[in-house]
Amino acid sequence: MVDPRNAPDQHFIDALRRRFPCEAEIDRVLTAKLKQRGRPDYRRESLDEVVAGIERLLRHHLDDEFTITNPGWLGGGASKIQVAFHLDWQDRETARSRDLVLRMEPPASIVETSRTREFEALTTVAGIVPVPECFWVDAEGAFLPHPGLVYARATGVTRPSKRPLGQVSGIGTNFGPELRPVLGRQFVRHLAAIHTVAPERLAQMTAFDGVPVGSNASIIRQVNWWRRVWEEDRLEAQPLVEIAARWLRENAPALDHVSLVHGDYRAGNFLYDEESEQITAWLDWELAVLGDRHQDLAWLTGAHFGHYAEDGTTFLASGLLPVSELLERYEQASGLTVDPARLRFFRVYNDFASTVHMLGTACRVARQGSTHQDVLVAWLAMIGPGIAAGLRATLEELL
Amino acid sequence: MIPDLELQLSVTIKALRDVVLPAINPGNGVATEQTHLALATLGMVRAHLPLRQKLAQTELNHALAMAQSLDTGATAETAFAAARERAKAVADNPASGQDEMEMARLALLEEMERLIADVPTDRFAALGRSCLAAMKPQLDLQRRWAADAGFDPEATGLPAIDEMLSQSPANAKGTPVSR
Repeated sequence: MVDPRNAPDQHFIDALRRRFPCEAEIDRVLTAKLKQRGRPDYRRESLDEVVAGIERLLRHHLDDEFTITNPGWLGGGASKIQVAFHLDWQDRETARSRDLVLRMEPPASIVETSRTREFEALTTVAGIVPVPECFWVDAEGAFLPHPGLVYARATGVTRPSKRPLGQVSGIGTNFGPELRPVLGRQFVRHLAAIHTVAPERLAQMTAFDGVPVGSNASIIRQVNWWRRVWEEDRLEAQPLVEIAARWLRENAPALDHVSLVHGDYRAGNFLYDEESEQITAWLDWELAVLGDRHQDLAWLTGAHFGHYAEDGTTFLASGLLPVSELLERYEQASGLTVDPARLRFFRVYNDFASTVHMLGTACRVARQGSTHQDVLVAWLAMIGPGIAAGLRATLEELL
Repeated sequence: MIPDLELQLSVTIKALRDVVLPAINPGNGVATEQTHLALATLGMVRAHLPLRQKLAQTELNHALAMAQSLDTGATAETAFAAARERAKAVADNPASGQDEMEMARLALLEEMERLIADVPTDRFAALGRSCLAAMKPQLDLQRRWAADAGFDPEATGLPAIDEMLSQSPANAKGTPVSR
């Protein structure tokens, strides 16, 4: 039995595009992914090759001379290649000097996303919440070996340096009882600010399709996105995914307010300064969508990103605040309501999407050997059974 | 004698742990993290390697139990029915190899997913519920198999993997863990 997903032909790609319509930029990225698949095995570019790509990108954007120094691979994150470097350059009349980061796609990723959308999301929230200053984007890899963006290197840590290491990718981070409330208050305030970005500002995000209030069309489009990815990436079929997708389509609520949704808002995706205890940057905006705030709320209160407090009974969402306190503070800060029914819908949605990422895409890209950290991707895939089991149990109650 | 798989794995783990890991530049976080993960992965492979044949048998039996849950009587003479018959024949044959069992299981899963997608709206909820109940043992098995990765603390409360693999399809019941 030959799997058409190993080297998809045009007929296979066209059929999926028709069956699962999604946003234009998402469609472009997913289609490019499939066309790339089946090419020879991944070879990781050397640091020199990546730096040469950065130089090509900078020559395109800068009129004057520039100097790159101290380039080096950067750890952290499960889906993108990151290179830190220092840049001295002339910006019109001003001499500038910054520590920067190139965030570049590997040939295949645990989530296939758009650098243009990530760049737009970051620039939209700049000045509203702390994010790295964005400089340049190479949306289609015209200069870099693969699509990527360049932003300022933010300072700070993702977890207390004096506490034991948690899981990979910031999962289950324990900040300790003193730091929790301090970070927790900022965590909620920033989320509220992101979810209430002014509509005229959101309208400037051209890589995101319009999202009408009063309709569930955009949410069904999001379901289609991940259902399509499942069909593109899975190594084996799983009736659970189809049951979940059908339930989600049939129960998608109409949108009551358009929010910028981060898509991966949790501990591990923000940096903070250990001395001032202030959050210095929100990272990883690649899954951002215009949609329903409950998607982020369901995600950050999920079981796998939190842990129990020292009393053994109080569950701390994202390791920061008890769920009820977090949601209360969110309502106060945002002026938006939290609807338990929508929260439940997006718990199913998030578990559905995570099941696709972990049991579908992670296994596919690790088998292809097409990332810079296949061993990490294959390790993360082992989150999948637990999430899928939770999805099954929830659907059993809802069907 | 040539070194067996267990020996080859154990010497590889020792080399990575005692020689390679200490030699990595502490500033190279990516290399350090990947070496730790490689060691953990090899440890897991070493524990699971002897169980592969039993795993293939058990997973095929679970897929057949799920297929049973989708049998509405109206699906005879279909691709689903054919895949199910084939899988049953492979499961019933004591000489079936691991690859053969895996192929039969994959083909059956493919047809089950298609059947769910095509089922009319008025029958979806009932069929979905039945299928969800039937897939629990397989998901519990996968959770237990991946438990040492540490992402799913409740999975360690499931029965031991040897116990789960020795269950016959007839008595492959759910477990004390709620989900």
